[in-house]
Amino acid sequence: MKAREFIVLGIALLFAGAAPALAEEVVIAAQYPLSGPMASYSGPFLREGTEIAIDRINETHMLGAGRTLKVIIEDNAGDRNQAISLMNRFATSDNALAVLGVYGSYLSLPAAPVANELKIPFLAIAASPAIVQAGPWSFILIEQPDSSMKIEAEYAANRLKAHYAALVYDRANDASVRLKDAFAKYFKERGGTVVSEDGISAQDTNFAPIATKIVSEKIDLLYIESVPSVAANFLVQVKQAGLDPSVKLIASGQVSSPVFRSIAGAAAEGILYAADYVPDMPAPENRYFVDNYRKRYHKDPDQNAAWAYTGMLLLAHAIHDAGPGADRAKVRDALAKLQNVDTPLGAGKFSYDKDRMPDFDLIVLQITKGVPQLVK
Amino acid sequence: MLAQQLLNGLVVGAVYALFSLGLTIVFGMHRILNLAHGAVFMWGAFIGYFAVTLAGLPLWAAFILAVIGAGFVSVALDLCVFRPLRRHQGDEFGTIVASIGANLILMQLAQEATNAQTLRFPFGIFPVIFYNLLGLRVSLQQIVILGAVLVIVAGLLLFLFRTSLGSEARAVAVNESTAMLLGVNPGKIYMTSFFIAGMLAGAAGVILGIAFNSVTYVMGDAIMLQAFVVIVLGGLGSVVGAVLSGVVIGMIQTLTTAYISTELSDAVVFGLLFVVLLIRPNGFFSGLHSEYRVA
Repeated sequence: MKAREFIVLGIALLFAGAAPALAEEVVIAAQYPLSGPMASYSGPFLREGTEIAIDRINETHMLGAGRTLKVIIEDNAGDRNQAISLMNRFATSDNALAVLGVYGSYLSLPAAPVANELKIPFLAIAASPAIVQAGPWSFILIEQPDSSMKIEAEYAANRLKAHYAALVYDRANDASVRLKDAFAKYFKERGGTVVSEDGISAQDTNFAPIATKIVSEKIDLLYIESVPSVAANFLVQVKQAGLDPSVKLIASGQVSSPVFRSIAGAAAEGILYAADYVPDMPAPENRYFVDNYRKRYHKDPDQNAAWAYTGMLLLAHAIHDAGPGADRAKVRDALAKLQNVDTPLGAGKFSYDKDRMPDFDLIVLQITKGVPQLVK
Repeated sequence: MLAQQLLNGLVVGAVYALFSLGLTIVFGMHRILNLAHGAVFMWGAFIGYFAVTLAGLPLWAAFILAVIGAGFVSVALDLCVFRPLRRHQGDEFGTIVASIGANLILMQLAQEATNAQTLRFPFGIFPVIFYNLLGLRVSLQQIVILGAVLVIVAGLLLFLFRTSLGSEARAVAVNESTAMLLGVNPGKIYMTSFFIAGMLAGAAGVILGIAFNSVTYVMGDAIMLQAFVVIVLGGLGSVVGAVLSGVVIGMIQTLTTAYISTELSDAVVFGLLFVVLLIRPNGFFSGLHSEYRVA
């Protein structure tokens, strides 16, 4: 054997011997509204939360020894057709083990049947139970409206002593309508009266007509449910329209975003809300998340970033529990069995119940002197 | 509440008119339906915002900078998109499609520049002062907006009907070839009209950005829809029609939202458009259109 052939053979043997020790790359796909009308309050935060989670998972070998996580992040532009197309692509071309995201019930509902048809675990960053009902392959990450709205209605009636409420919600968002309906139901059960209900759109910027109408109503409570930037803008305009300072403010957890406080400023003072995420919570996983997020992006994470981070962690735990070389079915089964996983959400522990519905403790906060203070 | 809502409608309608004027001027003079006009409006708001937040300019200086800056963006659109098409004798459909492309590019640039975030002018940039006039709660901001729109529209009418450049512009609108025979340089007129249209859009962008507490890369889309209704109802190319129609649309939209349903405000506005087109295909103010229109 000539020297050159000997060297080539040696190199080939070296690679052959090394092959079993090469890391297994696990592929997860994520799709978010990185452009389009939803992007201003969701996409970039979701991507940033995902990126922090990837580092966390790979640095701590969360998937197990020799396994690294690769995440394909794509933009669905807030478009249902693109959400479906991407789901198809992730399952068939990219061979992803699971899919996270889509974002919101509006986009997730049409994507869920596709995920079930293609038999790929789909963890939707959404709250609609219909996503879970689409089949055994779909999961949701966000607590049910009933949980948060029941708490908020109790606070409105008992703590804020409110009796007459005006409700403002995002009319184009299925989840927002359900939140509003749940709040109205529980508020009425506690003796409250809903004076008016006004739907707004996340694309609206001129709220003067509704603000003027609400100011003319005899109310002692204003409920607002919309994306953070819109809810903030609405509050600013309703205050400018002359809302009586004695009217109490209550909102859905969306206002926990730093974006809300930065836009609303003083108009946010006193607003009360039940949230599933607050950067200041002391849970260890949240401290890691917030510290690294601040270090990397020089700002506080919002609810969306925490959702994406949590979703990635849940999938990582499921992949770990499913074991090396696990297929999609094993990952799905492991995901459904997750209990007491450390995450930044709520009080810090996340579980799935027997119906694959998320279960974690919500937090009630009130903005006092510009800062969210823990109420519960 | 009715009077208060009418005031709300008047203010927002005045800004619709300001925005729509640019669209109708370019169409009236050059038969170009510039679908990137909303992007110019959006960039006007962004220039104003960055002038305040990054350069630390006072609002009045930022406003002037935004108006001029949006004018240049509009001229750049003409030079880069419409002029090459004119040279190659592109048809109207090609021009519309090209303007859609330009709109997307300008929006994409803004999206990248802002990471798709909704921005707002700093608190206190405009004094929050309210007056009680005849039982109405009128803000200083509303007074300034109405005053500014009146001054700008008056200035535009003076330019078009009381200056030689305005006369040349109207001559080009009537017949470009004939105007050239009379010694008018159409290139200069194109540049002037696009600059003015951009300035009007930029002014509207800053005003709405402050009034509605929101500056975002998609802000041009919604107002473009309203502007279509305004210029069609007002009569395509009609300056006075655009102003009156803008105010009427603003009021109808506001009253529908307040008294009927927020969900129906766009449906009512577009339903009105449909009905008016059946009765007056050339627009509600077609009489004024033929009398005062740019062309």
